[in-house]
Amino acid sequence: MPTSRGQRQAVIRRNFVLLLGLVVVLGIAYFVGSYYERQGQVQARGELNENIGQWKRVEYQGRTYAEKTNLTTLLLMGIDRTEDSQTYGARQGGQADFLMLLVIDHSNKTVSQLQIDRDTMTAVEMLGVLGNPIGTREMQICLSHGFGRTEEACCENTVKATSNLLEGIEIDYYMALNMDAIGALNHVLGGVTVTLEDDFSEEDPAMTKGATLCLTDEQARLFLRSRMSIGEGTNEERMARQRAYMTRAIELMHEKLKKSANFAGELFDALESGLTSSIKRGRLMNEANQSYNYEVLPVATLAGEHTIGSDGFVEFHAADGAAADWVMQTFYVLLS
Amino acid sequence: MKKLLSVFVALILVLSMATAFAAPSKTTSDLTEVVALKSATGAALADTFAIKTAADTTMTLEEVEKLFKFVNDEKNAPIDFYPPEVQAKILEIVNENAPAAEVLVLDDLKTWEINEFVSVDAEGYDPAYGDVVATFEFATPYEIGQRMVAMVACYDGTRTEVEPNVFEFNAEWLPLKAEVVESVTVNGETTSRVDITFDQESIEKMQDGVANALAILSAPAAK
Repeated sequence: MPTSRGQRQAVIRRNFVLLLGLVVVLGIAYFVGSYYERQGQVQARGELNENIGQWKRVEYQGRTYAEKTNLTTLLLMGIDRTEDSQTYGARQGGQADFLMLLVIDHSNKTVSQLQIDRDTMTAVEMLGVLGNPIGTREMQICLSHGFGRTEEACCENTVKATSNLLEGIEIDYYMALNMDAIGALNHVLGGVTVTLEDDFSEEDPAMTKGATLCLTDEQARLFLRSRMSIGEGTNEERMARQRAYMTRAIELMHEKLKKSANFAGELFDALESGLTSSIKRGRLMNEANQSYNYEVLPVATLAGEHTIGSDGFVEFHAADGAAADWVMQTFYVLLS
Repeated sequence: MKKLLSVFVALILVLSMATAFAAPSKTTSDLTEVVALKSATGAALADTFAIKTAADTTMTLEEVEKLFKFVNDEKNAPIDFYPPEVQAKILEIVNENAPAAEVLVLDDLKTWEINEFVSVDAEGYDPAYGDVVATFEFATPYEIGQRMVAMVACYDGTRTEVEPNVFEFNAEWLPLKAEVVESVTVNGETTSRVDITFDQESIEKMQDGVANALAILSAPAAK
């Protein structure tokens, strides 16, 4: 223990220096810590601002648009194949005869629908018969599903073709139903009642012209798919039958959904055997639950014209700008 | 539930396979077309004569599946799908009139591809026509100068047991001369035409066959 005054002063000086050193160290530590903390905060805020700033802006017809976020896109396809159709090579996927794109806008709480004519001409990626990519050619969009070894690969090719048609938009999910779904749908609805405007008795004696029938699953297939041997054999007549069936089927769905919320799941399960999908049942149900009260916009189609190609097959040519107009309206918001 | 309903309404719309015209639906099989026929002797071809694409049959579909598995699953070269005597005829055709520096051997053909395989048919042939040149348009964009050979398979409907309880249709493969005569690229999209020379023997065998197929065995396109 220091006893003399000098010794005490030396101790005080030493303690003072130590204390000063400690203060300096703490000070440096504080500033260094603060610096890194500030850096971290800046980075975090920077990321947030980046996201906002990264909204893609595009100029279209002299106006500025920002790309919407919080969208879910789902491509629905009807495939001209049955469940037991066999696969041969890489060009036998069947045609996607029905195409509808659903766009769920979770921010604006809307559901947009675009029905795409199966004969719409667009760039389609082709495969050789053994699966080699052989390039891209403009052809009927329905043919895009023919290329692929597996059902999934065929669907993905149609997703690409649809994206090509619609200015390269990103499509999140697809659901493709084959023709077996007709019977499955009819079955889960307990049969759909229609009045026959044409005579089907060659195929089924009970299906005479003028008869009102609750269709069996097989009768539903005949009613919806037959064409050349029925009436005038035109596609227009078949479309009229399909509309009649659809109208009644929708009414039945409304009735069944009112009675039981589980019906939606039952319907999905019933169609599942004829379904190829990139969206899981649970995800679809989540999307449905999230958007159950959204405004459902009317079904849109692209303006354009039908022609007969040099090969004798129908072609639908979308009008110039029709696809871009729909994409801008659906996927972008007008800024100025 | 509105959105859910919209999904299901759309699913029902799946059933409405609609077009505005009552015309046939195009399929991937329709991507191949015979656009012209010409007699090598200059003889006029009767309207009743045709070499044309045909509806797929079990024979042709099973053949393409067998070929697919042979190449993709078993990792073989397409040229090895054919028996040695057919390979020899293929080499004979591809080397016909070739300069010495461009003569190919079997190993050179190991990289060759088959991208086209269609069902075909012939009818109304008159021996006075001699060889017949058929101009085909395929989905595959072939290039001028790309070396190739056309392979015709003729089926008589009989099967052979290749493994216990596994039967395959018998096919006679006939290699034919083929040449790219047109290749036009517009906006990055190439359309090409291929002349295939059908000799009398091949046409008559096609007429006699229960079903026939046509495959194009070609060198890979230049990248």
